[in-house]
Amino acid sequence: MRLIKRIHIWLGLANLTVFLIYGVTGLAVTLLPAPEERVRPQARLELVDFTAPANLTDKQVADLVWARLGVPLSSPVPEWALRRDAANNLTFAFYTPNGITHVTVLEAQGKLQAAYEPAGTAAFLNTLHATTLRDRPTDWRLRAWVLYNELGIVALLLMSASGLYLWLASRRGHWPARACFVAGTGALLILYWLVR
Amino acid sequence: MYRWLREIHLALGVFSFGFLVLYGVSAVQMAHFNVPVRASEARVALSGEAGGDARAVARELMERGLVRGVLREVEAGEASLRFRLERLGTVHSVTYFHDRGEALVHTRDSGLLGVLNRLHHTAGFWHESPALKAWGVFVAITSAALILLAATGIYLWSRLRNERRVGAFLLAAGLMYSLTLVWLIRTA
Repeated sequence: MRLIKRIHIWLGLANLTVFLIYGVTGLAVTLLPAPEERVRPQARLELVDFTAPANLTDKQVADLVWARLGVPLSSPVPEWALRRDAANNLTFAFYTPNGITHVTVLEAQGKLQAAYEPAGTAAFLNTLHATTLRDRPTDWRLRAWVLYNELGIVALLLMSASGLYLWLASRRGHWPARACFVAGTGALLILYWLVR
Repeated sequence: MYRWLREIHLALGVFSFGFLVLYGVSAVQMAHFNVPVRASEARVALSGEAGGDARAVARELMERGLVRGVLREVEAGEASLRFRLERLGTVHSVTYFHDRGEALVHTRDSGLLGVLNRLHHTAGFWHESPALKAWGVFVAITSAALILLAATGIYLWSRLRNERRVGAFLLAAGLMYSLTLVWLIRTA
């Protein structure tokens, strides 16, 4: 039990920041209005000279644009995310914790249109808490963050399990804890049944 | 003070245990693998009373116990009628053929993991469903509990003499690593 208690404490201390980010993100998304009522941030437009070389695929053009614009923290756009707009221009976006950059390749004009939508603090933390190994970030700062976040996810599970063990091993008969456990777990099971 | 905070830490922890496990398990799923989806298809002969009304077709299918969920995306055509019935983790795509009085029900069920995944993404009080509104309340409670668990946990640790040295090192290392990265990312 002593070792379990130590592990519980150590995991909590090492992962304090990420747990606080999870908590703040949860509260921030709770306060969001309905999707259709959300106001998108004002985009900053920029036109950049760009000529797509002949015989390239859309993916190759998107990779060139990524290198040309050098949006901080961004990764090359996957092929499935490439689109054509109503005027048949190639469009895609770079998503980073600091915001979204929507790109339109205006081949006829020899330009790129970049519309940068900055992320507020809540959106920044929300993206940060959701950035994992699956996103395969190319930027070293995000790769380092992903390792911390992955550890945070595992720590959340281990701390939940070790916390429950510590309660059962030391104060199993403690009625307020029993009541809270039944209330929380019961509410979860009822809600699961209701939504399912 | 110590005794009270220990009681609060325990109460918050055991109350939010199930929700925290849900978030942890669904986070592991999202970070590492896709939710396995079971697809099935069924042809159902209907009574014909439903006619060309999606709501009536959906009701008849529901009364037979074949589908459940919220009716969405109705597309009424001359020969057929299409709509979806959705609930967390399950989508029924229904095509009703007027001439045959038959419904083709295509179901995609992502099971327990699919529901956990969707619940992880569900928050706020703007949902129409009372169950999802109630879920939003528990998301808020769990989020606040996580912050309070961290705060009370730090206090409880600070009172343990034996754990101060290793704990202080882990706390400082974790804070330095994470806050430096948050700052570097935010200012990139």
